[in-house]
Amino acid sequence: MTGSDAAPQIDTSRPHPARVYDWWLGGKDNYPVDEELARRILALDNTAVRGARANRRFMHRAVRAVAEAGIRQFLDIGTGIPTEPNLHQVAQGVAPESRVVYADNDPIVLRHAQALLHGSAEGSTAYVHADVRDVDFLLARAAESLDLARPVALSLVALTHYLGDATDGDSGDDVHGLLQKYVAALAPGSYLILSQVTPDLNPEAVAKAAGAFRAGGTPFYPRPITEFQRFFGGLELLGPGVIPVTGWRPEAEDVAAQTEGVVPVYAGVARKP
Amino acid sequence: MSERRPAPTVGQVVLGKRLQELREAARLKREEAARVLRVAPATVRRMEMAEVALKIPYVQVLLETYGVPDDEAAAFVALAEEANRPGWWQRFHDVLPDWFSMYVSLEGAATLVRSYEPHFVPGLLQTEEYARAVMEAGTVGQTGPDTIERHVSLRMARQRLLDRPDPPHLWVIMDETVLRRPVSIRGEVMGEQLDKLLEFAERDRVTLQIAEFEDGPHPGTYAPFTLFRFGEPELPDMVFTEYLTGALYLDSRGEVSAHLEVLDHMTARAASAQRTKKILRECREDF
Repeated sequence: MTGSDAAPQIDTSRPHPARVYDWWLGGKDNYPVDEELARRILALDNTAVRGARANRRFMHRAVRAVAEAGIRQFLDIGTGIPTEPNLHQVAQGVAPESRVVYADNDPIVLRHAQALLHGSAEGSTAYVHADVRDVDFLLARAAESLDLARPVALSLVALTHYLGDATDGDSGDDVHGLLQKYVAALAPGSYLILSQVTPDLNPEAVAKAAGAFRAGGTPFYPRPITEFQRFFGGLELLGPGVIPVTGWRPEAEDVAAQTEGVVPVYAGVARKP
Repeated sequence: MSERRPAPTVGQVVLGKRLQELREAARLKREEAARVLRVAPATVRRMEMAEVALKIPYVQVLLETYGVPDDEAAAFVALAEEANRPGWWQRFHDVLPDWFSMYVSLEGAATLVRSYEPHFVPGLLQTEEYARAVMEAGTVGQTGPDTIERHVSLRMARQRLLDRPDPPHLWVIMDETVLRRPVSIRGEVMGEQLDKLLEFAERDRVTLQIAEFEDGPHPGTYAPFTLFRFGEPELPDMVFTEYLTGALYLDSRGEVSAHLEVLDHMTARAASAQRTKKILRECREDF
């Protein structure tokens, strides 16, 4: 996991979370290994497709909310395969001059983003090949397009459950430490947009789905509400706070989705004072 | 098939698949549907596979048999009539083999066209002079100048696609060979072609990437191919690959996916769209 632009090593023989997600969203940029894992997880946890859609819709609502609050700079980490509408379309829909940086560690995902995501003429849309773990490198590249001295909305939608914390000895990751570093680098008035899978709402199914992800080579860490809330330490949570994803400032479509049953994902948006 | 007919339009392919789904939803076998029409089961299969045009009276009886509501059936029939109408390219039938009519139809219906071009600038982006030079070079045998001119006209007519209000996204990976081997001894042919590539590279709906020599061999080195994707979610991607005397259309999940994977590997390794513009500009200076 380096942040360099050197010729990347690409392994498509194993499922990739971005392409598994693409299959759940009805996309066609996935391979049979991805489809197989996506179907296996869906059979173990029948909320997977609804969860993927709920994460997308949350991203739309959260980005619109912070854009309406005046944010004009966006840094999205773990962008994934483009799915309409994309973040820059939502942000530039509110304010065409908005500047958006997409970051992803997968070279194929990044090329898809470069090919398909074109921003408004007034704003800008840039792409950074970097891993979320390389905080300094990622921020340095983002700073080529964004003014980090001014407020930024940082979004990690459905990403933190792929990262372990200091107590998960196997991963070597420290997700809480990472987020603290990002938040520390942001200007006052910036926002943090997060969602992630939790065992709280459907423990058995989520445990099985997590097992299937791990068996497919992707570490997976569902988190209880207390752990998820820690991500927002020192920040001011926007109403309604940390809540199951379809409940975050729901629109008509989300209310309709709620009737199909709970999705085991928490979401929240917070402002840096 | 003994009878020759124009290649199916994409509309026919979509409607054929839909007809099959409706039959399956009605829990009927092909044999049972065929019995209602008093035809052989193969006739139903050919309609579903878009190997024959959708005969409207047959379609009406099948929709009724499948229990499709009247308004939905009427809409289906209207679409079938539309799909049966010949495309603009039929007027080039004298120079257009069936396998290539299908290509033009797919290209016109696609929302995304991804291709790998080892030898030449893709047809949709060629200048008239470049197209003529490629065709003259590629012609062996009895082809006269009139035929070449017809081919050139067809190619230019295809390019209107990119000026539509809703053009497909064209995403091309060209091997560096395309830039290094001139198609004509007249330098201005390549120069003008490079200008055209640079112009199209600025468009939002066009992505050009060069697979550079210095990157070494890549997984696409077999032959040129094109992957088409359509707006209809139920329609699978389709891959077209050409050989000397014909072409293949692949739409099975395994084969399409193998091509998608190769394109994805190549796109990750090839020069980015941004860097490609720089390469094209540098190359332009050489002509």
